[in-house]
Amino acid sequence: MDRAEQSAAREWFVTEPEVAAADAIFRRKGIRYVVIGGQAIAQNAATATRDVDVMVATADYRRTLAQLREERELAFDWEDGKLARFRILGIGGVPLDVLDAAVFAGRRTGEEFFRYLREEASAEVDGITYASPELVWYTRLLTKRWRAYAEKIVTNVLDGISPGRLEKVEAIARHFGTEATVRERLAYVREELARPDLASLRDSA
Amino acid sequence: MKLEGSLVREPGERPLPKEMRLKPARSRGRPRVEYRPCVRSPEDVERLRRHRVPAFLLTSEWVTAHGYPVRFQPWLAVPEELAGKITSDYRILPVRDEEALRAPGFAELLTLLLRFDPLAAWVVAVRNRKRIDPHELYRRVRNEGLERAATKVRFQEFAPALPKVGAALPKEELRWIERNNPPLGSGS
Repeated sequence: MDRAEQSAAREWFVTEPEVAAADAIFRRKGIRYVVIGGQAIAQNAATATRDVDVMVATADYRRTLAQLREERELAFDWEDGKLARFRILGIGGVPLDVLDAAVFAGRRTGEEFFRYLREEASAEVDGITYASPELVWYTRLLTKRWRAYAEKIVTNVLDGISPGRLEKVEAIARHFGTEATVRERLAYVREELARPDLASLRDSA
Repeated sequence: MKLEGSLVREPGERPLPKEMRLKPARSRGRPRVEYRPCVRSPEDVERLRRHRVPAFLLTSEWVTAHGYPVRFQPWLAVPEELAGKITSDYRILPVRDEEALRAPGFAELLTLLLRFDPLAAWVVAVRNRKRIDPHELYRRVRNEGLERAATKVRFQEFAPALPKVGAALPKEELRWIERNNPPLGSGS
């Protein structure tokens, strides 16, 4: 975290109730996972929607879904082969998305991506592993709905996350061989960040 | 109080509390006190408003209550002439049209939200469609020059007269964001 980010980040950390609820279930089932998405970004920017996104190793994906479908505290919504949606019943039906790491692995394997995430692009806080902002941005830009997620990246920057992390996104993309796709989308994000109406907001963030 | 690029007390008005003055400045002739308000709490914002200073604290509680569950640090919306003169721990949201902050209604708050989180503005608009006055939303978006952001999240659906500037996000992507963020308590 650079100096500018430190001023934007929370002064102390509290595990959000949605993450705590998901963590309790995953621990009970003995499933390895990493929090990604907005809840991971909130580690650095104090902004979060309530939904929880987690990534699991490709080898664990099917078994994870089977275990979670038996869980009474969750309701299963749907699954498309690489992403499954549950709802956490005890806290108002907050969405819990479980993703297969293979989706983002490019020319490498899902196992390699998950290992990279665990070892090089995450941090453990209060016993829970959260993906770094650049890793979250990378995953957002690789989805088919990347334009909407690009808006979220802009909001993250207004929240105080350094736009310098976009270069790290590029480095991740090079590592996994997805740079052709990601570079074009990063250009879109950079163009959006240059919008004149955002300048005064970035100054005050 | 009136806004003159700075805050100046008018005859007959009570001064702002001392703790909200940062640096009183002297001027020639009739003594005038320039205020550089320090705003540290919602109560400070209320005190400013009681002194007819158009300021408004946009909180995540308001956004959550209107159907988009989110947490963020509050934004303090103030007229852009005043933005550089306020000291605050809150993030400052400069607003072109100070009248929008006098008694902000739904359209005004939606327009503020559009500035820093257009996706949230979309979801709030969809979930409160009946509360939207198209003419008022049109006026506020135009006054703030937010046609591009409004187009991106398809505000023409709520205010059809709004000109289209730039590209709109695919409808399916906006729906995805909406589905990912159900209102609090909707699925328990």
